[in-house]
Amino acid sequence: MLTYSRWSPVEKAYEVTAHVRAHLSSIATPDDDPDMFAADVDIVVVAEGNGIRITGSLDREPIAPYLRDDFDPEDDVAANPLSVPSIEDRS
Amino acid sequence: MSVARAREVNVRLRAAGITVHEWPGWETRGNGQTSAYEGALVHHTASPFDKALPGTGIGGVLVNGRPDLDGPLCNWACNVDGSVTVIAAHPANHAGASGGRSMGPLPVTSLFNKRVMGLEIVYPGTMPMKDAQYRTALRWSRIVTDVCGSSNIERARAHAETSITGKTDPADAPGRTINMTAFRRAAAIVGANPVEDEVTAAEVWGYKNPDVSPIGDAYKYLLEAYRIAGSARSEATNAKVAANQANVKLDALAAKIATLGEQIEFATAEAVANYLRANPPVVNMTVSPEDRAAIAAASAVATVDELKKEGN
Repeated sequence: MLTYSRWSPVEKAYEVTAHVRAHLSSIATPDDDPDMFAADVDIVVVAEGNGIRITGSLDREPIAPYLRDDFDPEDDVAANPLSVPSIEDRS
Repeated sequence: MSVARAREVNVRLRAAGITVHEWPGWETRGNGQTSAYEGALVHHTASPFDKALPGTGIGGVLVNGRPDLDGPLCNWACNVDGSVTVIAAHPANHAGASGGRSMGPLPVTSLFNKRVMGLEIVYPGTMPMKDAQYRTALRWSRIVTDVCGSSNIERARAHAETSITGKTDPADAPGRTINMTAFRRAAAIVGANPVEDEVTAAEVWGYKNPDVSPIGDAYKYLLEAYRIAGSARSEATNAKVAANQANVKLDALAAKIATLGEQIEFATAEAVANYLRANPPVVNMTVSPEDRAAIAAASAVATVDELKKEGN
Protein backbone atom coordinates (compact mmCIF):
# COMPACT_ATOMS: atom_id res chain seq x y z
CA MET A 1 0.00 0.00 0.00
CA LEU A 2 1.32 3.39 -0.99
CA THR A 3 0.29 6.53 0.88
CA TYR A 4 1.08 10.14 0.19
CA SER A 5 -0.23 13.26 1.90
CA ARG A 6 -0.05 16.99 1.26
CA TRP A 7 -1.51 19.99 3.03
CA SER A 8 -3.28 22.53 0.83
CA PRO A 9 -5.23 25.72 1.07
CA VAL A 10 -8.81 25.11 0.07
CA GLU A 11 -8.49 27.03 -3.17
CA LYS A 12 -5.70 24.69 -4.34
CA ALA A 13 -7.55 21.48 -3.50
CA TYR A 14 -8.02 20.44 -7.12
CA GLU A 15 -4.36 20.87 -8.09
CA VAL A 16 -3.06 19.18 -4.97
CA THR A 17 -5.44 16.25 -5.33
CA ALA A 18 -4.25 15.82 -8.90
CA HIS A 19 -0.67 15.93 -7.66
CA VAL A 20 -1.35 13.24 -5.04
CA ARG A 21 -2.92 10.96 -7.63
CA ALA A 22 -0.11 11.55 -10.14
CA HIS A 23 2.58 11.02 -7.53
CA LEU A 24 1.24 7.67 -6.37
CA SER A 25 0.66 6.50 -9.94
CA SER A 26 4.22 7.41 -10.88
CA ILE A 27 5.62 5.37 -8.03
CA ALA A 28 3.65 2.31 -9.06
CA THR A 29 4.73 2.38 -12.70
CA PRO A 30 8.15 1.62 -14.18
CA ASP A 31 8.25 4.76 -16.25
CA ASP A 32 6.76 7.12 -13.65
CA ASP A 33 3.46 7.33 -15.50
CA PRO A 34 1.33 9.90 -13.66
CA ASP A 35 -1.92 8.71 -15.24
CA MET A 36 -1.94 4.93 -15.29
CA PHE A 37 -3.16 4.41 -11.72
CA ALA A 38 -4.34 7.92 -10.91
CA ALA A 39 -7.98 6.89 -10.93
CA ASP A 40 -7.26 4.05 -8.51
CA VAL A 41 -6.01 6.35 -5.78
CA ASP A 42 -8.34 6.68 -2.79
CA ILE A 43 -8.45 10.24 -1.54
CA VAL A 44 -9.27 11.29 2.02
CA VAL A 45 -9.61 14.96 2.85
CA VAL A 46 -9.63 16.34 6.38
CA ALA A 47 -9.56 19.89 7.66
CA GLU A 48 -6.20 20.95 9.08
CA GLY A 49 -5.33 24.42 10.26
CA ASN A 50 -6.68 26.95 7.82
CA GLY A 51 -6.66 24.45 4.97
CA ILE A 52 -7.10 20.78 4.22
CA ARG A 53 -4.92 17.71 4.25
CA ILE A 54 -5.29 15.49 1.23
CA THR A 55 -4.12 11.93 1.72
CA GLY A 56 -4.07 9.42 -1.08
CA SER A 57 -3.57 5.68 -0.88
CA LEU A 58 -2.97 3.26 -3.69
CA ASP A 59 -3.08 -0.50 -3.27
CA ARG A 60 0.14 -1.18 -5.14
CA GLU A 61 3.84 -1.35 -4.38
CA PRO A 62 6.70 0.76 -5.70
CA ILE A 63 8.63 -0.94 -8.48
CA ALA A 64 11.73 1.24 -8.77
CA PRO A 65 14.80 -0.93 -9.41
CA TYR A 66 16.75 0.71 -6.61
CA LEU A 67 14.20 -0.47 -4.05
CA ARG A 68 14.80 -4.11 -4.86
CA ASP A 69 17.10 -6.12 -2.65
CA ASP A 70 19.35 -7.05 -5.55
CA PHE A 71 19.97 -3.46 -6.59
CA ASP A 72 23.64 -2.65 -7.02
CA PRO A 73 24.52 1.07 -7.00
CA GLU A 74 27.44 0.34 -9.32
CA ASP A 75 25.01 -0.92 -11.94
CA ASP A 76 23.12 2.35 -11.62
CA VAL A 77 26.34 4.33 -12.04
CA ALA A 78 27.29 2.29 -15.09
CA ALA A 79 23.87 2.71 -16.61
CA ASN A 80 23.65 6.41 -15.81
CA PRO A 81 27.13 7.87 -15.90
CA LEU A 82 27.84 11.40 -14.82
CA SER A 83 27.01 13.88 -17.55
CA VAL A 84 29.47 16.50 -16.32
CA PRO A 85 33.20 16.14 -15.67
CA SER A 86 33.93 14.99 -12.16
CA ILE A 87 36.26 17.14 -10.12
CA GLU A 88 38.09 13.95 -9.24
CA ASP A 89 39.01 13.54 -12.91
CA ARG A 90 40.41 17.05 -13.02
CA SER A 91 42.74 16.53 -10.10
CA MET B 1 20.77 8.82 -13.07
CA SER B 2 20.89 9.24 -9.36
CA VAL B 3 23.82 7.53 -7.72
CA ALA B 4 26.60 8.93 -9.88
CA ARG B 5 25.32 12.48 -9.49
CA ALA B 6 24.74 12.19 -5.77
CA ARG B 7 28.24 10.79 -5.34
CA GLU B 8 29.66 13.68 -7.33
CA VAL B 9 27.77 16.16 -5.17
CA ASN B 10 29.28 14.53 -2.09
CA VAL B 11 32.76 14.69 -3.61
CA ARG B 12 32.39 18.38 -4.34
CA LEU B 13 30.93 19.13 -0.92
CA ARG B 14 33.92 17.47 0.70
CA ALA B 15 36.29 19.31 -1.61
CA ALA B 16 34.69 22.54 -0.40
CA GLY B 17 35.52 21.57 3.18
CA ILE B 18 32.06 20.43 4.18
CA THR B 19 31.68 17.29 6.26
CA VAL B 20 29.37 14.76 4.62
CA HIS B 21 27.75 12.13 6.85
CA GLU B 22 26.43 9.14 4.95
CA TRP B 23 23.21 7.67 6.31
CA PRO B 24 23.51 3.94 5.67
CA GLY B 25 21.56 2.86 2.63
CA TRP B 26 21.46 6.29 1.01
CA GLU B 27 22.41 4.93 -2.40
CA THR B 28 19.36 2.68 -2.53
CA ARG B 29 16.87 5.02 -0.87
CA GLY B 30 14.14 6.91 -2.71
CA ASN B 31 10.39 7.36 -2.98
CA GLY B 32 9.98 5.01 -5.92
CA GLN B 33 10.27 7.51 -8.73
CA THR B 34 13.13 7.61 -11.20
CA SER B 35 15.20 10.75 -10.96
CA ALA B 36 15.47 13.33 -13.68
CA TYR B 37 17.25 15.95 -11.63
CA GLU B 38 17.70 19.39 -13.07
CA GLY B 39 17.76 21.65 -10.06
CA ALA B 40 18.01 22.19 -6.32
CA LEU B 41 15.36 23.00 -3.74
CA VAL B 42 16.05 24.27 -0.22
CA HIS B 43 13.72 23.85 2.76
CA HIS B 44 13.61 24.22 6.51
CA THR B 45 12.51 21.38 8.74
CA ALA B 46 10.50 23.56 11.16
CA SER B 47 12.20 21.63 13.98
CA PRO B 48 14.82 22.65 16.55
CA PHE B 49 18.43 23.19 15.48
CA ASP B 50 19.92 19.72 15.33
CA LYS B 51 21.95 17.22 13.38
CA ALA B 52 20.11 14.67 11.25
CA LEU B 53 22.14 11.64 12.17
CA PRO B 54 21.18 8.05 12.97
CA GLY B 55 19.56 7.97 16.40
CA THR B 56 18.13 11.48 16.24
CA GLY B 57 14.42 12.19 15.98
CA ILE B 58 14.66 14.55 13.05
CA GLY B 59 16.98 12.18 11.23
CA GLY B 60 14.50 9.34 11.60
CA VAL B 61 11.67 11.47 10.23
CA LEU B 62 13.67 12.62 7.22
CA VAL B 63 14.63 9.05 6.38
CA ASN B 64 11.45 7.17 7.24
CA GLY B 65 8.77 9.82 6.86
CA ARG B 66 5.65 10.36 8.92
CA PRO B 67 2.56 8.19 9.38
CA ASP B 68 0.82 10.00 6.53
CA LEU B 69 3.87 10.53 4.32
CA ASP B 70 6.45 7.96 3.35
CA GLY B 71 10.13 8.81 3.45
CA PRO B 72 12.62 9.82 2.43
CA LEU B 73 11.68 13.47 2.85
CA CYS B 74 14.86 14.94 1.38
CA ASN B 75 18.09 14.01 -0.35
CA TRP B 76 20.42 15.87 2.03
CA ALA B 77 19.98 17.39 5.46
CA CYS B 78 21.99 20.45 6.47
CA ASN B 79 22.97 20.14 10.12
CA VAL B 80 23.37 22.83 12.74
CA ASP B 81 27.18 22.68 12.48
CA GLY B 82 27.17 23.14 8.72
CA SER B 83 27.80 19.50 7.96
CA VAL B 84 25.39 17.60 5.75
CA THR B 85 23.87 14.16 5.92
CA VAL B 86 23.22 12.43 2.63
CA ILE B 87 19.96 10.55 3.04
CA ALA B 88 18.78 9.50 -0.40
CA ALA B 89 20.30 9.41 -3.86
CA HIS B 90 16.92 8.87 -5.47
CA PRO B 91 13.86 11.15 -5.47
CA ALA B 92 12.45 12.12 -2.09
CA ASN B 93 9.08 13.47 -1.00
CA HIS B 94 9.94 17.10 -0.39
CA ALA B 95 8.85 19.25 -3.29
CA GLY B 96 5.17 18.47 -3.95
CA ALA B 97 3.81 19.93 -7.15
CA SER B 98 5.48 22.89 -8.79
CA GLY B 99 4.03 26.02 -10.32
CA GLY B 100 4.60 28.59 -7.61
CA ARG B 101 5.37 32.28 -7.81
CA SER B 102 9.00 32.04 -8.99
CA MET B 103 9.98 28.92 -10.87
CA GLY B 104 12.95 30.29 -12.78
CA PRO B 105 13.83 27.78 -15.50
CA LEU B 106 12.44 24.83 -13.55
CA PRO B 107 9.39 23.04 -14.94
CA VAL B 108 5.80 23.32 -13.81
CA THR B 109 4.87 19.74 -13.12
CA SER B 110 2.87 17.51 -10.86
CA LEU B 111 5.93 15.27 -10.47
CA PHE B 112 8.41 17.81 -9.16
CA ASN B 113 10.12 15.53 -6.61
CA LYS B 114 11.97 13.66 -9.34
CA ARG B 115 13.19 16.88 -10.93
CA VAL B 116 14.96 18.51 -7.98
CA MET B 117 17.36 17.40 -5.29
CA GLY B 118 16.16 18.59 -1.88
CA LEU B 119 18.10 20.02 1.05
CA GLU B 120 16.31 20.14 4.39
CA ILE B 121 18.06 22.68 6.63
CA VAL B 122 17.54 21.58 10.22
CA TYR B 123 16.29 24.69 11.99
CA PRO B 124 12.97 26.11 13.16
CA GLY B 125 12.36 28.55 10.32
CA THR B 126 11.16 31.16 12.81
CA MET B 127 14.62 32.69 13.07
CA PRO B 128 17.68 32.81 10.83
CA MET B 129 19.57 29.62 10.24
CA LYS B 130 23.13 29.41 11.56
CA ASP B 131 25.87 31.02 9.49
CA ALA B 132 27.43 27.61 8.98
CA GLN B 133 24.13 26.29 7.63
CA TYR B 134 23.79 29.27 5.31
CA ARG B 135 27.29 28.79 3.94
CA THR B 136 26.66 25.12 3.37
CA ALA B 137 23.30 25.78 1.71
CA LEU B 138 25.01 28.20 -0.68
CA ARG B 139 27.65 25.70 -1.62
CA TRP B 140 25.23 22.81 -1.86
CA SER B 141 23.01 24.82 -4.20
CA ARG B 142 25.95 25.83 -6.36
CA ILE B 143 27.27 22.28 -6.51
CA VAL B 144 23.93 20.65 -7.29
CA THR B 145 23.24 23.10 -10.09
CA ASP B 146 26.77 22.51 -11.42
CA VAL B 147 26.23 18.76 -11.40
CA CYS B 148 22.58 18.60 -12.47
CA GLY B 149 21.51 22.02 -13.62
CA SER B 150 23.84 23.14 -16.41
CA SER B 151 25.66 25.40 -13.91
CA ASN B 152 22.64 27.69 -13.90
CA ILE B 153 22.20 28.97 -10.36
CA GLU B 154 18.67 30.05 -11.25
CA ARG B 155 17.86 26.38 -11.00
CA ALA B 156 18.32 26.65 -7.22
CA ARG B 157 15.04 27.70 -5.67
CA ALA B 158 13.34 27.89 -2.31
CA HIS B 159 10.37 25.65 -1.70
CA ALA B 160 8.47 28.87 -1.09
CA GLU B 161 9.11 29.87 -4.69
CA THR B 162 7.93 26.68 -6.36
CA SER B 163 5.15 25.56 -4.03
CA ILE B 164 1.55 25.92 -5.13
CA THR B 165 0.28 25.73 -1.55
CA GLY B 166 1.87 28.80 0.00
CA LYS B 167 4.93 27.27 1.63
CA THR B 168 7.37 29.80 3.12
CA ASP B 169 10.50 27.71 3.61
CA PRO B 170 13.30 28.37 4.16
CA ALA B 171 12.39 31.29 6.40
CA ASP B 172 14.27 33.60 8.74
CA ALA B 173 11.18 34.77 10.64
CA PRO B 174 7.65 33.44 10.93
CA GLY B 175 6.18 33.44 7.44
CA ARG B 176 9.12 35.31 5.88
CA THR B 177 11.23 33.49 3.31
CA ILE B 178 14.92 34.32 3.12
CA ASN B 179 16.03 36.62 0.31
CA MET B 180 16.51 34.08 -2.45
CA THR B 181 17.74 36.60 -5.01
CA ALA B 182 20.65 37.46 -2.73
CA PHE B 183 21.06 33.78 -1.94
CA ARG B 184 21.43 32.79 -5.58
CA ARG B 185 23.79 35.64 -6.39
CA ALA B 186 25.96 34.77 -3.42
CA ALA B 187 25.84 31.08 -4.32
CA ALA B 188 26.96 31.88 -7.84
CA ILE B 189 29.98 33.76 -6.50
CA VAL B 190 31.13 31.85 -3.48
CA GLY B 191 29.20 28.64 -3.55
CA ALA B 192 31.93 26.47 -5.01
CA ASN B 193 34.84 27.98 -3.14
CA PRO B 194 36.39 26.31 -0.11
CA VAL B 195 34.75 27.02 3.21
CA GLU B 196 36.09 30.09 5.00
CA ASP B 197 35.56 29.66 8.68
CA GLU B 198 35.21 33.32 9.50
CA VAL B 199 32.78 34.22 6.74
CA THR B 200 29.34 35.11 8.05
CA ALA B 201 26.02 35.08 6.30
CA ALA B 202 26.07 38.87 6.32
CA GLU B 203 29.43 38.85 4.62
CA VAL B 204 28.24 36.41 2.02
CA TRP B 205 25.14 38.46 1.43
CA GLY B 206 26.68 41.80 1.42
CA TYR B 207 30.30 42.49 2.14
CA LYS B 208 31.72 40.26 -0.55
CA ASN B 209 29.04 41.25 -2.99
CA PRO B 210 27.93 44.73 -2.00
CA ASP B 211 26.22 45.45 -5.29
CA VAL B 212 23.66 42.73 -4.93
CA SER B 213 22.31 43.29 -1.46
CA PRO B 214 21.13 46.25 0.59
CA ILE B 215 22.95 44.63 3.47
CA GLY B 216 26.21 45.28 1.68
CA ASP B 217 26.54 48.96 2.45
CA ALA B 218 25.23 48.59 5.96
CA TYR B 219 27.68 45.83 6.61
CA LYS B 220 30.57 47.85 5.26
CA TYR B 221 29.62 50.75 7.52
CA LEU B 222 29.35 48.36 10.42
CA LEU B 223 32.81 47.02 9.71
CA GLU B 224 34.16 50.55 9.48
CA ALA B 225 32.47 51.42 12.78
CA TYR B 226 34.02 48.35 14.35
CA ARG B 227 37.41 49.36 12.96
CA ILE B 228 37.11 52.91 14.31
CA ALA B 229 35.84 51.68 17.65
CA GLY B 230 38.71 49.24 17.85
CA SER B 231 41.21 51.94 17.02
CA ALA B 232 39.70 54.31 19.59
CA ARG B 233 39.71 51.57 22.17
CA SER B 234 43.36 50.87 21.44
CA GLU B 235 44.28 54.54 21.67
CA ALA B 236 42.35 54.91 24.91
CA THR B 237 44.23 51.96 26.36
CA ASN B 238 47.55 53.45 25.28
CA ALA B 239 46.60 56.79 26.83
CA LYS B 240 45.63 55.13 30.08
CA VAL B 241 48.93 53.28 30.21
CA ALA B 242 50.82 56.52 29.51
CA ALA B 243 48.86 58.34 32.21
CA ASN B 244 49.62 55.63 34.72
CA GLN B 245 53.31 55.78 33.83
CA ALA B 246 53.24 59.59 34.15
CA ASN B 247 51.56 59.34 37.53
CA VAL B 248 54.26 57.00 38.76
CA LYS B 249 56.94 59.40 37.54
CA LEU B 250 55.16 62.35 39.15
CA ASP B 251 54.94 60.55 42.48
CA ALA B 252 58.64 59.76 42.37
CA LEU B 253 59.45 63.33 41.42
CA ALA B 254 57.28 64.69 44.22
CA ALA B 255 59.06 62.47 46.72
CA LYS B 256 62.41 63.72 45.48
CA ILE B 257 61.26 67.32 45.72
CA ALA B 258 60.03 66.78 49.26
CA THR B 259 63.36 65.30 50.27
CA LEU B 260 65.22 68.04 48.49
CA GLY B 261 62.99 70.63 50.13
CA GLU B 262 63.81 69.33 53.55
CA GLN B 263 67.50 69.41 52.71
CA ILE B 264 67.16 72.95 51.38
CA GLU B 265 65.24 74.10 54.46
CA PHE B 266 67.87 72.64 56.77
CA ALA B 267 70.74 74.09 54.76
CA THR B 268 68.99 77.42 54.55
CA ALA B 269 68.31 77.56 58.25
CA GLU B 270 71.88 76.61 59.03
CA ALA B 271 73.21 79.18 56.59
CA VAL B 272 71.02 81.86 58.06
CA ALA B 273 72.14 80.97 61.57
CA ASN B 274 75.80 81.09 60.56
CA TYR B 275 75.27 84.43 58.86
CA LEU B 276 73.53 85.84 61.90
CA ARG B 277 76.27 84.59 64.12
CA ALA B 278 78.81 86.30 61.90
CA ASN B 279 76.74 89.40 61.38
CA PRO B 280 74.71 90.09 64.47
CA PRO B 281 71.86 92.42 63.61
CA VAL B 282 71.86 95.95 64.89
CA VAL B 283 68.45 96.72 66.15
CA ASN B 284 67.36 100.30 66.43
CA MET B 285 64.26 100.50 68.49
CA THR B 286 62.17 103.48 69.16
CA VAL B 287 60.89 103.27 72.71
CA SER B 288 58.15 105.43 74.03
CA PRO B 289 58.70 107.36 77.33
CA GLU B 290 56.18 105.19 79.05
CA ASP B 291 57.91 102.01 77.93
CA ARG B 292 61.28 103.47 78.86
CA ALA B 293 59.95 104.20 82.34
CA ALA B 294 58.46 100.75 82.65
CA ILE B 295 61.70 99.16 81.53
CA ALA B 296 63.65 101.28 84.02
CA ALA B 297 61.28 100.33 86.76
CA ALA B 298 61.54 96.67 85.94
CA SER B 299 65.32 96.97 85.78
CA ALA B 300 65.35 98.67 89.16
CA VAL B 301 63.22 95.92 90.66
CA ALA B 302 65.48 93.33 89.17
CA THR B 303 68.55 95.14 90.49
CA VAL B 304 67.05 95.28 94.00
CA ASP B 305 66.25 91.56 93.84
CA GLU B 306 69.81 90.85 92.78
CA LEU B 307 71.25 92.88 95.63
CA LYS B 308 69.04 91.08 98.09
CA LYS B 309 70.35 87.73 96.89
CA GLU B 310 73.94 88.91 97.16
CA GLY B 311 73.26 90.33 100.63
CA ASN B 312 71.88 86.95 101.74
